Amino acid sequence: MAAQSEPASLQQETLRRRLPVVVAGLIVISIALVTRMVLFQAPRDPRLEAYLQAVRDANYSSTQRQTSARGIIYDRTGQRLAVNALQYRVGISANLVSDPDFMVQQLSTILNLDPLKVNEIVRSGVPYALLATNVDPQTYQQIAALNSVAIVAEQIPRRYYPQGSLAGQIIGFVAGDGDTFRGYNGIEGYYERELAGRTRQAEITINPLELPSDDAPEKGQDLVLTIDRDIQFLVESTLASAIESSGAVSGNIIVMDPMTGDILAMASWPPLDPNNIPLNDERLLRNPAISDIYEPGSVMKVITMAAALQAGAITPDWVYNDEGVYLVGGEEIRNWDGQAYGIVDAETVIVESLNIGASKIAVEALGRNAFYSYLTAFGFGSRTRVDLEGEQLGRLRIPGDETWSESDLGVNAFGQGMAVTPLQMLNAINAIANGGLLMQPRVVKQVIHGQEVTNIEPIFIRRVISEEVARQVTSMMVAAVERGLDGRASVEGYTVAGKTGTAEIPSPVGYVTGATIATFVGFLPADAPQVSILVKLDRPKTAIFASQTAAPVFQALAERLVTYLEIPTDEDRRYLVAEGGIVGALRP
Amino acid sequence: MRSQSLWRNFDYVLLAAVGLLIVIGLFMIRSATFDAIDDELRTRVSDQVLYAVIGLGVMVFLASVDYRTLGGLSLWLYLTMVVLLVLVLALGVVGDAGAQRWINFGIRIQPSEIGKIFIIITLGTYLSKRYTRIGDLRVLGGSLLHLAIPAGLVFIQPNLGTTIVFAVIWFALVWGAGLKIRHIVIFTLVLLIAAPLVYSQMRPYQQSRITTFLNPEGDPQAFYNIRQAIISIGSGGLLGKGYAAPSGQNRLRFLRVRHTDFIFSVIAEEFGFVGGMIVMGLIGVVILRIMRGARLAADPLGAMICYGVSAIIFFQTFVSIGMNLQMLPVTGLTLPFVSSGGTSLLSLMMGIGLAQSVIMRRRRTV
Repeated sequence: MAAQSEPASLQQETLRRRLPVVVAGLIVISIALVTRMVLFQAPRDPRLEAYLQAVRDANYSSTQRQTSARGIIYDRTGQRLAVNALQYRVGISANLVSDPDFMVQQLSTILNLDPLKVNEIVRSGVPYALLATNVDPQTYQQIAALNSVAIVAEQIPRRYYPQGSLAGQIIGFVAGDGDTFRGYNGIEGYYERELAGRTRQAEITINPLELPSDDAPEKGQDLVLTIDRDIQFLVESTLASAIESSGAVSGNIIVMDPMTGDILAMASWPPLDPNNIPLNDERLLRNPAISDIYEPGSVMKVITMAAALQAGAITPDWVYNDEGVYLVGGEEIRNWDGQAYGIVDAETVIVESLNIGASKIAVEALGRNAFYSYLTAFGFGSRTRVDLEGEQLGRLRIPGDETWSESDLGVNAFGQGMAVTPLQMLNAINAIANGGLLMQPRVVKQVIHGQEVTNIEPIFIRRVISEEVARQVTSMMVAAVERGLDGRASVEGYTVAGKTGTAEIPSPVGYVTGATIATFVGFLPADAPQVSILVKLDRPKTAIFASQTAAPVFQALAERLVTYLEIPTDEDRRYLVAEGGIVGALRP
Repeated sequence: MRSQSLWRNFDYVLLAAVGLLIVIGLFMIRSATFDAIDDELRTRVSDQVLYAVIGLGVMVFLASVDYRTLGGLSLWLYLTMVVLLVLVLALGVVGDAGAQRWINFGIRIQPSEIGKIFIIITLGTYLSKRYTRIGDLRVLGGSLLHLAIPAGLVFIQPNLGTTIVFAVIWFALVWGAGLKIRHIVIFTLVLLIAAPLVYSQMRPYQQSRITTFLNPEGDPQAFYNIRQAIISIGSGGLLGKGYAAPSGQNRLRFLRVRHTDFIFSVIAEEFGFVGGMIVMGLIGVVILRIMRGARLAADPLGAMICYGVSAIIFFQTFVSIGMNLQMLPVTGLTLPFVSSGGTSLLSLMMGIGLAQSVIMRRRRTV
């Protein structure tokens, strides 16, 4: 120790002499750092401030993804119609790639990209370059298995429809990114708030002991539909083959429970695949069954008849003399075949679908005020308020409107000069089927909010006609099927009530010749209906009249529905009722 | 009796400053990672607490051991270090950017971090034995060779940041040992000539870090990290946005590697200029207390150790903050005691332990 102490202290001297230099260096560097910080944090040139603010804001909105998991949509049997899937946006930090050859080979294979392009990106050395958007989870798993820090993957919430195009127009779709991620049309649009859940709120604190209280984003509510996936599938395939065999350009089929207003299936051609939205053509995104309007034609005679019976303007044994031509407001009205039918009764007006009869009832017996107040009561001219986004209200001119004229009354009576949506039409017929009640059609019957399940009750809007009148009109519709259609809409073992409608297609310069819209609306069993069906085919080529095109489609569909829904035949049902059994059809 | 008087000299100011920095670090890491989706990030705070506790134990242990005993084990320490660094290359874990930096001994350690402390002892011992002949180029050359083996092994991992730290330690020690000014000049010249050569040997990502720094606007995408850091700091203002402020760059996760490389940006954003100054001030206290140890040291080895340890802390702080402020290239060096990183914290605590050991065994008179 002693021997070392002198030179040791000599070196200590060196150290000590040099210490001030070190400290001075320290101070200089510290001042540099502090100055730099002041430059950054002190109030600056407003232009720079504005620029930084702009950069901040731009980034701010682009990644603030605080949306919660969207609710799931189920059909009435619990099948999933809309779910959430993750997709990935895959990029690469090219500067962090350790083995470019391997990376190029793997990435181009997994992502199915051009190897030359990938090579260019991987060797570019940039800290971030986008490789692929919309990468599905399976593919992403392969990417993740590469286990490279260079790969940057962002999760992007996506909506996925496991049933493909099934019920696509009912469901609607989801589009957008981040903050703009939301549902459009159909259920996704109408129930956006319920499905989307709550975005989270965050508050600022400077206390490091507590983290900002992010309210956990509330998951969206799940919806259970009245739609039955199997019926929907049946309806869609029936519609597709009907389009094929009739040569129609488009068409719709709706199946409802007339008692509750539940929509069991609703399909339109051409179909829409919500997984693959044709965003460039807005018309394809709509649900024609609620958004497109058409002239209903002869189906309206049933409504005219019901209104006149309810108003007491006529009785079922009312008769008139059909002369083949009837003049209303200067307009000549003729029957579909131009024939005069002589003395005919009310039922024959429906069975033979006589325009003159319907007009006479509206013009002479009912009168304009009563006629239009009943039409309004049946829901024409206003939305059905179905829980789907994009519903149209149809077109109904009423007295008092500038464009209304006396001749409108005469033609409205058999469904011309007015326009309805397919759903509006079927819903009005439902009021006859169910004994006189106008229901609000619906597609959602249950909302699931966490543990809480809320059943949505059917909504009764108003009584339109009495049960007695409903029964009278129903029996005329049964006659129309049995006497007027040669069995083309009949279903063996069941009494079917129905009415055809063959409407001409209006254009700005009059009706289009030769082109028609064929509809058939019916329900069964007639005395205790379980299903009501609307079939509509636009511009069928094989035949002009609905009795030849739409009615057989109804028949084919109804035959399979009675099996699927296990609706007892009339005979079985009467037997069961006689035995004291309770049959589903016998509802109050 | 003797050990009692020893602990009376223990530097509690130094301990307090280090402790405060670690606590601040824990809060900032928490802010940077608490809502991370990545599982690996979620355990950062608890990991750091664990390492801090272990580090505290290691510090107390090393403080209680006489640093001269360690100096006597110099050869063994050196060999251990070299073996560990070779092992890393042979069977290390490939981590960030394809570099092999870790060995998994049940817990993952980064031998290059431990090496920073070992080389202070071994090089300090080497130089303190030859302090009278520091003017001799053979001694200087020997010290360079002493450095070159471990530093070379770290460089080829590759780990540029830590390699530079090794060089800084060497410079601090030879400077402290009385390196001649003319040798410094010669050395600087050699460095200037060697730099392009070294640059050409660097990995592309290392090169890009330097070129990005030198010409940030040249590649707007490459500028990303630095720009985010600057926005963070710039938006902090005098008092900051608040802890874990939801609108912050940190919370919005624009800032990458925010719990390590860019932790200072998080501090400056959330606690503003004042917060940044407090952290810098605390680190300043740590450095000055260790410098004071160098002045008080009973022998050259003690002084060398203090020099080396304060050099590491100072250099890492300067580089880390300088990088956040766009004054220096991005090297991946951590902010001492604050950044998330287990072995880094451990090695720093070892350094503090060594410095305490020197301070506790200081000369009687000042």
